[in-house]
Amino acid sequence: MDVPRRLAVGGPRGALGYAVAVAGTALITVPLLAFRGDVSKTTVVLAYLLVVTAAAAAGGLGPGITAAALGFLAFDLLFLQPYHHIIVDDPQDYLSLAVYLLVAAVVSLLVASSERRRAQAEHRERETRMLFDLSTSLVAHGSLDDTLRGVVSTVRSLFDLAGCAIVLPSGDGVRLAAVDGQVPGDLDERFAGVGTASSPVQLRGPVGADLEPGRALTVPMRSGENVVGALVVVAGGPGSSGFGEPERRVLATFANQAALAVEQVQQEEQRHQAVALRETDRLRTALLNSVSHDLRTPLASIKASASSLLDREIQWSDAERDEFLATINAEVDRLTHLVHNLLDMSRIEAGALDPRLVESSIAEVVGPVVRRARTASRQRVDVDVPDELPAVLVDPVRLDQVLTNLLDNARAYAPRSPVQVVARQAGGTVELWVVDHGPGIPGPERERIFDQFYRLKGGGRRPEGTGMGLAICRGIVEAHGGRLRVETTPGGGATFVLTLPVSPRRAPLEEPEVARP
Amino acid sequence: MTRVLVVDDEPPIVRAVAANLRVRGYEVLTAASGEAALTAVETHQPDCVVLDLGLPGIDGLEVLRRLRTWTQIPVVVLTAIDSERDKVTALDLGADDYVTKPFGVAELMARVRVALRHGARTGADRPRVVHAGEVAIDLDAKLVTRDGAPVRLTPTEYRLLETLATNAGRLCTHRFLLERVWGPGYGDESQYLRVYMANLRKKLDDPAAPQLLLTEPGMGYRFVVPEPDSASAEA
Repeated sequence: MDVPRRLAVGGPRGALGYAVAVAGTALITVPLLAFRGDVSKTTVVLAYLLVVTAAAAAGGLGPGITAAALGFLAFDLLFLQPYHHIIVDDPQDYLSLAVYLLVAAVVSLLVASSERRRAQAEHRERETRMLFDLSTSLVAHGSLDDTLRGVVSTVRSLFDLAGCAIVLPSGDGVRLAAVDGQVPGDLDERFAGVGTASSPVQLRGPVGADLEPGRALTVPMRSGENVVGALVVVAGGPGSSGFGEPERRVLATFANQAALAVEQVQQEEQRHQAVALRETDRLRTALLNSVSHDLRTPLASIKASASSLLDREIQWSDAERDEFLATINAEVDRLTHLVHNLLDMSRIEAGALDPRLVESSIAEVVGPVVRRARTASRQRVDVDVPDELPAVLVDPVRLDQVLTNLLDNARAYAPRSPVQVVARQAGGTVELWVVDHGPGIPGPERERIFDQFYRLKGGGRRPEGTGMGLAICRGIVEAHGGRLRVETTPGGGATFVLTLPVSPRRAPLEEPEVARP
Repeated sequence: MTRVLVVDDEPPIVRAVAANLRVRGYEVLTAASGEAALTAVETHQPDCVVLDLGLPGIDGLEVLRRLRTWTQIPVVVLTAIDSERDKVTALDLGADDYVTKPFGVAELMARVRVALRHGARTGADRPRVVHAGEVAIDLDAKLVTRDGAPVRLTPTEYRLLETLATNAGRLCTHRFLLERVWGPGYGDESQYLRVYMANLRKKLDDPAAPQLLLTEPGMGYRFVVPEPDSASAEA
């Protein structure tokens, strides 16, 4: 970094000025003295004014006045008659001395003040460049803490500090949001931070005070009326001169900029939280609507049918009576299914599914499910489950439920093509694929279909089912230590892939067949 | 024969409602979506529509909105128990009445009957005198009697009673009554209604247990005329 590390001005420049004053006067006096008879008084006066100008330029007003005084003495004692006496013979010489002093003083003043202004301008420029560097570090990098970590390391390197930290109010106390280098270990205790629920949050404590006089100080981070945090700086090693007024000024300005950045990031974080909350709310409402619709619809059918049957004014035919009863029967089944699903769902969410794991072969589980699908729902199912697959540790009833659900889905979404059920060993797992050749599932929806109450939209019709099936399937499979995902069938369609860990227990070896004659 | 269109996307509901209407001598048409309902109303011109608000596609409110652009056909809407706002919207859009699911069929049948009667009566052939128990309202003479004795009403009280009586049996929403009686721009001043309804009840009804002027909480008021055929008492 090419920025001068320190802003301090002082000692070295002043000393240089006095050196110029003394040495200059001496150097000018020697040759002038050699030609004392030949040089005019004017030449001598001009020569000393040259020294005054040089001294003032080098060291400011003090050296300038010193050079003027030395020049006055040398001129008076060495070049005006009688030599070596303050008094002079020629009254005109008094005038010469007075004019010399006046001019020397004016020159010293002018040169010194222009020099001071130049130095100030240089300071300001340095401060500006420093603040610019600091401000650049404020450009947010992701989270608030990431940004603040960047800030403290920049401050530390720019000011050549032993340590730098930012303290923010947090809850009832404070937290060290970012630290770089060595800082006092008891910062938490020094700040009695009060973060009240009602904004603005104010930070109380030794803000703006020197923690260790001249060595460590805290700079308040102000945003308007509020102190949103504090910048803690610790000066560098023993050679460091501590914090002067210019450093304090830059740090104060910067701390206020940092305060604005902190507020901005905090507001941004609050906004994100609000958006997330709204989204959660929206999901919860959608969920409630879905469940209440699913529960209400069968109830309405049952109520309408039952109240019709109870109406003694009407003589229903046997066929009509049967139809009402059939409706009640079917709708009660639908309601039962829904209630079962809701109960399963809450068990899964509560982690209380508790599968009863038994060592089983995949073929044993797949067989009955496929048989039911083929007979009860006339579904075409091709099975490819090799006999030699290792056993898996599953709850057969729950796995049956999962497979039944996957086959039901395949029938609902791909009714016109056969479904394949394929099992293969894959390392320490057995993969079971349920492959359909229907419309498939669009990429973005592939994870969402496992969300509760999510249903694929299709053609304006209200989708069948409760929207809980796949969420329950995944919950069951995960309770077994397995996984369930969906992929695209080559050539179109959906392939559900169920991964189950192989049973760690070895199945009893098959009994050797008794050789028969 | 009176023709009723039943619109619902749940076949068991449609079947139950249709069977009940048929057995009571109505001709029944059915539709499972908003689009089908609009087409059926145009082509078959039913006398009344039973319309579920929760339809897929074009929903029930939109069907009602489109129907009301060209026909005053009586509409009874079926709504879910938790969609209070849809109910009010439907009534403000011009639905004649509503029934909340799950409903007893008798209740729906009674609402359909009232809607059909009111639908038939719009226009010149409305009755000149409305009788409701001991109260009689002569709409031509603007004369109200209770047990034969004249009842003194303020002009606003009379207009309110007249509006309710000519819509006897129907649910009149706050907005409907306010705009009819006080005029457009008064649609949200339901405190006016409370005051005037209280006065009417004092003069014509039993304020503690109203029989004639019923409040439908949050929705409006209903002027109830005891049904001549007691069999269809409300469920």
